[in-house]
Amino acid sequence: MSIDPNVVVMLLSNDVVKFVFKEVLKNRSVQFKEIRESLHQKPELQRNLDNFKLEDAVRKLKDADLIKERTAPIEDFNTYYVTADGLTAERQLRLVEPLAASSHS
Amino acid sequence: MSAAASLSPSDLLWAVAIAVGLSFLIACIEIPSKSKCQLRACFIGASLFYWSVLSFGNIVTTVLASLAVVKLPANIAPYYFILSAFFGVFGFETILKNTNITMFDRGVLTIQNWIEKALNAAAAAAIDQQENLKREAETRLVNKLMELPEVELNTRILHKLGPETVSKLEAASKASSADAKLYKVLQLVATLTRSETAALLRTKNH
Repeated sequence: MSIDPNVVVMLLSNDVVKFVFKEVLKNRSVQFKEIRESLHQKPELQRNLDNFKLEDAVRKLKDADLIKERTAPIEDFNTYYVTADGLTAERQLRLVEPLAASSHS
Repeated sequence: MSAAASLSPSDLLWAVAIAVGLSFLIACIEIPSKSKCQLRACFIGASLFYWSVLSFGNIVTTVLASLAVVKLPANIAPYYFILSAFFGVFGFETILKNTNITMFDRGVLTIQNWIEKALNAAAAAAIDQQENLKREAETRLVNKLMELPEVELNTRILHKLGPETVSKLEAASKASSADAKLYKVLQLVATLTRSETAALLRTKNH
């Protein structure tokens, strides 16, 4: 049982995408507003946001079928929740992340 | 007194029934734990499939365990069926998690993967169901709160979220050209606990 390796590469190579995915995974569902607020507490990720928007990260995760969107009348209150593929990716990410970290060091 | 070669059909049936029951209990623990959802959101078709997969594995190991259990001392024979189910269910993880289905010397799919796939599908369906239930409750609550006069709404926000929140929310909605009242209502609804939501839904607007 595995997901597309390109999806794992995308998660490992893009810090903002990985951060958003982990925020969704934490409580299994999260509002857009809450993701943005958590991101503001991560100054090291703020630099990456200049050329890569939060909306793009969310779209990439939706396109990869790792998360689903529940729309609200105002975008800030859109809810994103994890899919079955997302739960599979969570396990793969847990296995691959230490290897990726050791290869960088 | 010599031990029987195998369990009697009625005892075996009891052992299988206990194994199926324990599988249900395990599913009731694992799906909410994986999905972080309420139990009521977990009673869906995908969970039934997970329970079936788990039951199948547990029944097989219970039947296997029953062959070994009958070799235990005969004075505990009345409890063979319980022991078979116990060893079958709790031995299932250790026995089958390491069993690979191989084809042409290549691992195709391990039983562990089957079960995890079924669990992930059940957990994801439960999350989906939980979101649907939340959406229903939120929609009713938003409609109810939108009927309140703005002064009462602001008072509720002040009470729940503290001073300056109202002005911050109004500024944020203005910056995004959003409906200020709806934005405040959505924020209030987002911060309410389950019991507060239920209480508000029960109250009648004046």
